[in-house]
Amino acid sequence: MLTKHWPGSPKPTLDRLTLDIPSGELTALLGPSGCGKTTALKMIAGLLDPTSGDIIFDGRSVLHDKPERRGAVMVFQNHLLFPAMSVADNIGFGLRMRHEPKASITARVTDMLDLVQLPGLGHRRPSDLSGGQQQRVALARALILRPNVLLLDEPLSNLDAHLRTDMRDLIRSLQRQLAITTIFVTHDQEEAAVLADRVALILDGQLRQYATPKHFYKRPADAAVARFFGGRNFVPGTASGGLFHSPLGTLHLPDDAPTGPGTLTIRPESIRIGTAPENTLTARLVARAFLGTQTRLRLIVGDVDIEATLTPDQAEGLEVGTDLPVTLPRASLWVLP
Amino acid sequence: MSDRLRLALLLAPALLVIIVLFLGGLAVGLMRSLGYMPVIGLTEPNLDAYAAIFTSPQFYRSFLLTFHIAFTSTVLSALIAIGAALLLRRTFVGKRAITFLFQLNLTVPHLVGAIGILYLFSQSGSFARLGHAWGLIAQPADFPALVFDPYAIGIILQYVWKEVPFIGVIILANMQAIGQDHELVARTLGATRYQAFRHVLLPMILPGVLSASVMVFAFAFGAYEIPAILGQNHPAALPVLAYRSYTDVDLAARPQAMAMAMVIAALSGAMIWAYLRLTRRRSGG
Amino acid sequence: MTQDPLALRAFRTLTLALLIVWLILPLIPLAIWSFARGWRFPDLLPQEWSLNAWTYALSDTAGVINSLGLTTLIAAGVTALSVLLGVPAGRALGMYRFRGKALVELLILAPLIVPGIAVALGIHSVFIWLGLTNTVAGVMLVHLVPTLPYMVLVMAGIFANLDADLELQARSLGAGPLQTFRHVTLPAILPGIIAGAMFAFLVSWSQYILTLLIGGGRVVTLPLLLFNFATSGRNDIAGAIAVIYILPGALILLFTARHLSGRNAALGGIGGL
Repeated sequence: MLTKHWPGSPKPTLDRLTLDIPSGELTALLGPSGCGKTTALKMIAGLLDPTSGDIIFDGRSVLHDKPERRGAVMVFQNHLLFPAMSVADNIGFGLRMRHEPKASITARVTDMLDLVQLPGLGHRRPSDLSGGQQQRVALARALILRPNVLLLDEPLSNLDAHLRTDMRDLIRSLQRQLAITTIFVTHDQEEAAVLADRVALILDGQLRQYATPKHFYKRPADAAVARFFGGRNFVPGTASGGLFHSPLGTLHLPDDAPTGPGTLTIRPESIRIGTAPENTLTARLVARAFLGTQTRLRLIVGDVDIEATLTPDQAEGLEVGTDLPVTLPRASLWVLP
Repeated sequence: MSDRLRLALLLAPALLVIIVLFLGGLAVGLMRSLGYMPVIGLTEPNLDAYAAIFTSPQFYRSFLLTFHIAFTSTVLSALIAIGAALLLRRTFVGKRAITFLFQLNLTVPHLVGAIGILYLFSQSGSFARLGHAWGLIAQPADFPALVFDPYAIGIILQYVWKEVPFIGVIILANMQAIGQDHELVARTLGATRYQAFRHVLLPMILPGVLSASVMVFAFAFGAYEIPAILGQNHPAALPVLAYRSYTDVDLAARPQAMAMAMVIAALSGAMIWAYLRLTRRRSGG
Repeated sequence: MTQDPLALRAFRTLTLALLIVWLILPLIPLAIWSFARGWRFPDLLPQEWSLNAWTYALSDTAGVINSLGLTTLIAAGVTALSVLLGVPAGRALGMYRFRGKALVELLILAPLIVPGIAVALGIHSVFIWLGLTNTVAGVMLVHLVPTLPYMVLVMAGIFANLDADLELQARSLGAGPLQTFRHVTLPAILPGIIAGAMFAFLVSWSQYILTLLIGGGRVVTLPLLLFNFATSGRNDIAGAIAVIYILPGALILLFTARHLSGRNAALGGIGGL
């Protein structure tokens, strides 16, 4: 249970965070900026002291280990290469600090440069590299130490959109290849979903859900979590006997759905236009918006607003003002407390 | 109005003053040091003045003393300033007040500092009195000579007193701009606190430290009033010697004074070159 | 980061305290001397306190008051000239790129590093013919050598941080060149001008050798008077003059303390104050 409470601030930046992070996996700490993710990372790295709580690696508390002894290496958001050193010296920094023999450092740095796809750039100055290359050097500088835990703070946020995918794939493949327990921080739910084995969503300093990415889309813990992951449709009602009674009418629920009063949710992209044996409603199309790869529809069922997204092809020919048959597939429904 | 004309009008007045007074002053000094002054009938430039000072042991002793003063003061000031900046960048209770006190003597003229050092360290000064009160010395002459002394200790103390805040404030600003993240990265990469300072922070602040040090060195090499108050008569610091020669009743000594001024100018020219190299590299890196 | 051991923290506090004491220490005997009557060895503090030094220093006969007025007049005049010439030049260096800029910058930087005595001997020989030696005007001119480049550098820094589009925006909103300067540029650079001017004032205020050489001992500013009393053994009067002499600097420091977090461009050149 990690808590960080900065003196003078009304509530803790991070409140009783408890996470059991599986070895060798890639875990994302997800949350909006200022939610305490980076604080958590710095505490794990030993760069900040928690107000209370403990940090345990492989069953042993590392709380009193100095940062350089923890075997947890942090890669900062803005790469922070040492400007006075060459790329190779940057990558070999940690090994030099351990006074390893020069020849072995040189060899391992060369391997590392190949691994991050920067062969032959060792003699360059960091300032001569592009943003994406700098980020890869920062990654290599950490990986060369074979850390017990690799901590990445927003590793993709400083990159252009087209570089982001490359870097994402590189991190994923290196992490698999080296099987290093990795925790990375991001504010981008898509990034977390694509990269991570497991995601911990932190809102207002508190852990809201810790699960596989799929769970966040299919089985969000509450409305705030669903909203963070792009959920738009929330309809209050009551679940009983596998059915949900609401102003939308009565809908069939998946077998594992909870019962009792709750909020029905369905992702906009799960809604289908057309009829099906169950869960088909009649909706009036009141607005549509072309968003490039998607078309967003605003539908009204009774007096309930519903948002659906289709591909532009699927949306072809749907006219505003007409009534449409709309299906909410049973498997895509979920009931929030 | 074209940009060129506008630029010329903006720059001309200031440049004119600097060229006439500064470059003019240097040029006339150079001419007089060569004994060349057509206006008063001296049309044959010669190196007599330089020959005279470069064969004079007095000049060499002065030069070495002045170099020792400037070099020792600069190195000590820079080292202490780095330490001070490291202490002052931490957060602690009363930091604002302490930082203010640290900068307090920035605006105190060197002359005042020199007199203060004199009253502290002379053989009847405050420290000598303390020594007497503690039974360490019986009379003023027992107190070690820290002013008017051959090693110029008093002069160096004055420069260290005055320049530690000067260099320190520059380093502190430098450190604030750099932030602590580079060192934190180094720590997570396995560097100890000392290694993070030595291999990461120090190389980053070094250009700032050195360029400030260059200014301090040039100043300490050419300042008059501090060695005039705190220094020995023989050998005197070079600026004191130059001033004495210039105001000597024997007018023949004037070209030699000018030659010494040129030596000081040449040395500070080297300092400017060093300064530019250091600041260029910093902005280029 | 794990809490540092007590010994280390104590060492740091002690070192810092020692440093601060050392930085204030030389000013203390000066202040004490100004209130002392015959403070002889080995007394740690004067046996008798008196206001004699102050009464004398502030009397008409001592010349301190005249000297104070003269020093202020010279420093104010030199500052005004530096602002007048330095602000335009600072604008040129801060806002324009042009051929030979590096050379101009070198020319501005050089007088800040080359010690005054190296230049002043040559200037003195020229001022003799021009009749400027031993005059207040001559002293003011020679003070421009350290103050003007200083002002130009400070203003170049201020102008470099000024968004050039701000003026263009004002022009496109219908303001004339003078109106733009008056309502847009001046308010933006005024804090910089004030800080730069205060430190230029201090640079002139602190000059000793330039005043001694060009003024020929006839233009007696406060530092000359202070030097004379200090070297003739009148420690009490020297103490009183020293206290008066450091007052403007202390006031300026108090006034600018908020901006003096080290980022102040004005600080860059006062190493040789």
